Amino acid sequence: MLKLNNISKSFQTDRIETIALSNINLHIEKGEFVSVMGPSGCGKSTLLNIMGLLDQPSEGNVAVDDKAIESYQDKHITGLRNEKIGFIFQSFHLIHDLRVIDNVELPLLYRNISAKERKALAAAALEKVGLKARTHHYPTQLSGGQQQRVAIARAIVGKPEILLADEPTGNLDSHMGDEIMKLLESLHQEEQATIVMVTHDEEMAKRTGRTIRVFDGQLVH
Amino acid sequence: MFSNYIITAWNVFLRRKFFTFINLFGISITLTVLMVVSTIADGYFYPTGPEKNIDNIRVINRLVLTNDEHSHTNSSRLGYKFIKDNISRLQAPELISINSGTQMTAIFNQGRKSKLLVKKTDNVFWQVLDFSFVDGRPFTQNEFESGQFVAVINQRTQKELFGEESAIGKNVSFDNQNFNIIGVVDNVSAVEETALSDIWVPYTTNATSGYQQETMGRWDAILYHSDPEILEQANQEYIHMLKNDVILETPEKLTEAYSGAYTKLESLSREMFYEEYSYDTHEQMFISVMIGLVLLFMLLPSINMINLNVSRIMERASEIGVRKSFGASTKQLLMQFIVESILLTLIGGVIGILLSIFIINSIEASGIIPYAMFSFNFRIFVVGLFLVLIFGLVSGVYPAYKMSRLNPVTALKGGF
Repeated sequence: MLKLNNISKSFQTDRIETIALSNINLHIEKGEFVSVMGPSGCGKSTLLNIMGLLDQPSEGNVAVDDKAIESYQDKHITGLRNEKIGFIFQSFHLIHDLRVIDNVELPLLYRNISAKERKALAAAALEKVGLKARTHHYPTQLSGGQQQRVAIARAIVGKPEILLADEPTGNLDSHMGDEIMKLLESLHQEEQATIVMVTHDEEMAKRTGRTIRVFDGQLVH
Repeated sequence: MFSNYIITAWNVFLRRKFFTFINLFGISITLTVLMVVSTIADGYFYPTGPEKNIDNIRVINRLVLTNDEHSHTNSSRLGYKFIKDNISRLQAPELISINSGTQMTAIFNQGRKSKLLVKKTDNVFWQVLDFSFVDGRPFTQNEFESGQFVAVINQRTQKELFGEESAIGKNVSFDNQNFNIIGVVDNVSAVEETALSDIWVPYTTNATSGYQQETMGRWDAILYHSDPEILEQANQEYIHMLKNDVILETPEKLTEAYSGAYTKLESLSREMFYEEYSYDTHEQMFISVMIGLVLLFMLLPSINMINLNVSRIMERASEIGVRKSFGASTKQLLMQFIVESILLTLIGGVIGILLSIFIINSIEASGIIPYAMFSFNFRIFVVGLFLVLIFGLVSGVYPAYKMSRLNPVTALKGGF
């Protein structure tokens, strides 16, 4: 359902061209739980950003549901980001000015959905991650693990086809990290969620169905 | 969607109290100053007292006389003789009133001394201006022409001299003359300088007739016409007369006369961009300078707000990154931030308007501007609203534009 065809990505900084990714071919099937591993700076995050349509590849193309992305202009890309993809970040990236429930409903704001329906869907997503009791709290009132659960609720509220998680347990202690991992596993098993997760942790990677290794911007097998 | 923008904005304000406070402080103080100034200007240009028919009158109160070489120049108010010799010949106005400038006069009453303004006028004065009489009547043509010692006073004078008793039929004395009070009018705000006085008496009661020989002096002429457009013709006629057949009898042999039957705006503008030997009033320049000053005054808080808003980008970069990764378009984010800043300026505007009402009331109560009666009206409200929106847009659009265009990947990293 997500295909990367001959993806290369280079950055131009101070007259030096840095190659972040070169010639990546990757196919994520529906219902897969894939982990991405590699040393720091190898291009894992760039890869994830390109999968999530946040970053535009220098060469090659991304295809979602067999349809290649031709333009990264707002009008072509925002709908895809909104409906197909759910992001989970290492540092949670919750909006501190908004309550938990308002954070969770955020993706639905950019769809044509009534406020009532948005609240109902957000409440259901919060229940799924076990945080129904924290609906009206602010993110800063929660522990790191709880904040990441809120972020997961936000990622799944719009029922996207793929979840992209960038080191979701990287900022958490091992106990909390394990809980988050269990939550992702249950989403995968019970809801057949497609998940791509960047991680540094070999143990976490073993718990996924497939591991992709990136080294110096290339896939290693 | 829109209601969500407002709810988000409200949350942001509440969660960032210091930022909100600084912003509101800047906006409301700036607006208060502008509103107070425009209320006073409004009271000046659109009087509500005797000069409320401002469109039907033109006041001539400045005259510059000079000789051919411009080596000898006099500038002052008009002399009675100049008015009679020249202005009285004008055909366009329906009515012409002659009256003196006011003079502070000491009046002794029951052992107490009151300092009051006295103005000497003709009977036409009461026709060209729209005084509201609370008691009695103005003086008639007959009373004026026969030089009867009658007086109209304002309420303040009545209160000061007679307390709560009616003043009609009683006497008021000054300059060794004794006047019979026949009318009492509302106090006149000091911004209505043509009508302003405490006591009005016929100038035919003057003890001497020396004033009748003066070309320069302390007199004003008021031209009246029921059709405002004809007053402009009257001004043209007057200037044409000054250029071509002005009658001047001065010992210094002055030959050129510069004056005009100006509107209030034109007079004020002429005072500012004073050109001695010209009939121009430069009101376009005056208006431009005023608008320029207002913009300059608004510039500082605007820059301050832009700065505050831009530094808010730093703090909220990750929010922008998150919203973009979940499908927000640049346009939606632009709207969100503009709504935020307009909402903030509107709240600041409401505070500013309330503050202005308070200050205007305080000015009225304090007597800094005697008898001032300013009222907030629709015009001021519209001006205020307009200023608020300009403010909100100026300070909000640029930062919003900058914020909304952040690249999501860099925004998520918290930078630019």
